Amino acid sequence: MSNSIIVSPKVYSANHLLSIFEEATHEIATTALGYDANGRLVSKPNSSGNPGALVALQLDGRTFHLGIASSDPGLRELAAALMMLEPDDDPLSDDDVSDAVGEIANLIVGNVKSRLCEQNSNANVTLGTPLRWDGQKTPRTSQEMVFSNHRIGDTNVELIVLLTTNEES
Amino acid sequence: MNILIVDDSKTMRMMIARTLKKAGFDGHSISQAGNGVEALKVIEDANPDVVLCDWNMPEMNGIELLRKLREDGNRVKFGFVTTETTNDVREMADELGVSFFITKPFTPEKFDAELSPILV
Repeated sequence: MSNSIIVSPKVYSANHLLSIFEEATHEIATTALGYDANGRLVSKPNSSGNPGALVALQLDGRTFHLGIASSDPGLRELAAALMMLEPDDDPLSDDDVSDAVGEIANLIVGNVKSRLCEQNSNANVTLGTPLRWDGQKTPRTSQEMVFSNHRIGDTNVELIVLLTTNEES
Repeated sequence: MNILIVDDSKTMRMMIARTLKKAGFDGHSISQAGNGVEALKVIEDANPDVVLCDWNMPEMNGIELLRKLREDGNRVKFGFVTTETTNDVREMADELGVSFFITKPFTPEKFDAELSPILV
């Protein structure tokens, strides 16, 4: 866990969640995927629209979805890293890749929850189960979307935070 | 010994089974279920010695499964393998007599430490 002191806001913004999401991703990349922690790529002109996985996070009544996305070969690379596949192992099926990427998202968002609860022991945080993300370049009218690009190992990864701004729509 | 792994992710079930072997628990039979409802059927049929269960799952989640088992008088040794690590989650599980918590991402050493006292 990070030792940095972060003042927790009363109402979390999508950008604040994204910064916590980034820290959690780098921790999981090193502990669960076996990558060095030095990979950061911060050129972010646009969302790529790549596929991946999302996990819903309810925080004090607000609904966020935190997602990880990459190209198809990138997702395959991440899935193989999670499953510690050897070069001689059979290639993963598309379903296995999707399932594994969902599990990576689950690990990262679980780490986000821990960080939020460390910052504020009264935070009311619940998680959903992983959902497939088909890629989306712009937010819907009821959403705010922020994202950043990173490099995990040799893989370019996009981290996405969606905040549902109108729960009724 | 019969170990039941309950997780909605097939990938995670495979990883847990593989980690059990790496931790030295390769002589035990392993059964699997994708959620709490499936697990109840497997528990009735296979009568496992220990259940390793995820927390967040569709249909019936891990704490609902544990609660159902205890309500039915089933005292099977039950541990969570989960990303959920907060105090309120642990307190809820402790009240229902959970045997251990293993946090994801996990290592063979974590499994060895938690399961060795149980799988003797």
